[in-house]
Amino acid sequence: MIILRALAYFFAEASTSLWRSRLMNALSVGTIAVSLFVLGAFLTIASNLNEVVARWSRKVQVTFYLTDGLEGPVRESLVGRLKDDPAVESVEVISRDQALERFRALFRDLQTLPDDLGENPFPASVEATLRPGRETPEEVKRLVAAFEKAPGVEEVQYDLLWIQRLSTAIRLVRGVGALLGGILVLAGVFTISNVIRLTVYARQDELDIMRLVGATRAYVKGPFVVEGLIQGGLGGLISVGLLWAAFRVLARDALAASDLLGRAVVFLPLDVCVFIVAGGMAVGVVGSLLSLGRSRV
Amino acid sequence: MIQAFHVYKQYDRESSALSDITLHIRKGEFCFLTGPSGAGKTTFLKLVFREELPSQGQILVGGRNVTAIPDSQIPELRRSIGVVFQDFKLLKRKTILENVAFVLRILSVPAKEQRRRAFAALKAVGLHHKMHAYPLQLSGGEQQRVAIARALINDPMLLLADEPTGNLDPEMAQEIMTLFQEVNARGTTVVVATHDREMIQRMGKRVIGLERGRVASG
Ligand SMILES: Nc1ncnc2c1ncn2[C@@H]1O[C@H](COP(=O)(O)OP(=O)(O)OP(=O)(O)O)[C@@H](O)[C@H]1O
Ligand SMILES: [Mg+2]
Repeated sequence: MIILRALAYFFAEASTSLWRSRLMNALSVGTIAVSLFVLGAFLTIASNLNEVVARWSRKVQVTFYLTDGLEGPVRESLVGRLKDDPAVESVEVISRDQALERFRALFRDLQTLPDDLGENPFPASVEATLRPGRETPEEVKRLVAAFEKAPGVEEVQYDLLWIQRLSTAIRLVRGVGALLGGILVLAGVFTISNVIRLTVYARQDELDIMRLVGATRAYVKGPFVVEGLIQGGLGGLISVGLLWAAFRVLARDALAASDLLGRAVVFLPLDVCVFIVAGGMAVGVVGSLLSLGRSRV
Repeated sequence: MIQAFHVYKQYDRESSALSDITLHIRKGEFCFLTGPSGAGKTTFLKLVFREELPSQGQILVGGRNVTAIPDSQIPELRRSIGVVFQDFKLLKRKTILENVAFVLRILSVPAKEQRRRAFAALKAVGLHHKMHAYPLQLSGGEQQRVAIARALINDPMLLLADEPTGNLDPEMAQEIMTLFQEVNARGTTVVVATHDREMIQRMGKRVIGLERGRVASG
């Protein structure tokens, strides 16, 4: 009860003070919002790329495109030899018509393209899916080397390298995001601590008086810590709002591309949003504690 | 209530504000601390509620050695002492009712009770009709009475009043002295620093005279 009363007092004092110098405080809130926005943007990009990789690497496939007009026996023997390979889990034959269907399902905008071309441009293919645990670049290369010269095989395609590159890209995006976000978060701490320090200076007389009539240090500091907490929390909320808005705008453009990847782009999960807001609050609290540590309270 | 043993206070190296002060103010006593300007009255009071530390010597307040208590116990000490500051020390962004209630607020007294008791304290100094005014909207004498109301609101065991009637007309000064006597009668030890000789004579209480930082009489 006593703690609740103290907290109620802290919040009341903090909000009065925030409102009293709202321009200055908007600066802190803005800095935090921007830094968390940047951090969140990188997180969003990274988690979308991650989604793609997860989707793709779940099935490492090697596709063998077949020579046009390949007769049954040659194809059957190719499928049989692939099935016998220790690294291969399953083999699927995709006929020319099936390939066309896939294309149509994937690119709805280009539905009429094959018709315009006059005939089905897609070759038939055999897709070999690797066994879990053997989806290494070495296995893929070995498989490709073993079968690319096989009769009936026109061309071999595999996506492992692509996945590796994507993984590197994700690591890069995460790294840059963490670095940039980290720097900006530090800027947020710095701004909040300076703005609060100015408030502390401006109200030093009052704080001294409070101490003289018996207020504890914690009681005098409390409102400032809550001020930082509110500033940081507001900054976090604003940044999540901005992220959502930016996401909605960009997602529409990205949708076409994401069809390619098999699903819609994703926003940050709820717990990450909560984490961003909580992070903002933490930044605010650290900022105000820093400024109080250096002041005479 | 207050025991000082060979207390010295030097703010800077050249001069000392207090030298070799040894005195004893008993529990329940009402006494005056007097002396010319700069004699060290305010300094002595500051040592008692631990706004300042003595350069040498010991001070016991209510049996506790305030020169030796840790920082964390200072709030508790100050809450048991009511202080009327020479320069009032009111919170200028708060109404006078809030100023007086603040002492209870830091003790987490329920809001309703804070208001009730703060109103009563302001009424005792005749300012309840201005409770929503801010300190700077009041005259010096009115601010002084707010400071008095704040010092008394929590029934302190010790009241330290530094020139509490310096800005008051003789009638109001007399009223405040009567108020202090009532408080004293209820058990609070009262120490009033003043150079108002006339008032000291009229009251007929113990007088401790300071002169250039030393106890000259009492
Ligand atoms: N914070 C301070 N820093 C330096 N010197 C101080 C400080 N406070 C008081 N002094 C000096 O200590 C001496 C005693 O001051 P003090 O305020 O105790 O006098 P006083 O008896 O209360 O005087 P007055 O009747 O004018 O209020 C003075 O010479 C003053 O200059
Ligand atoms: Mg003085």
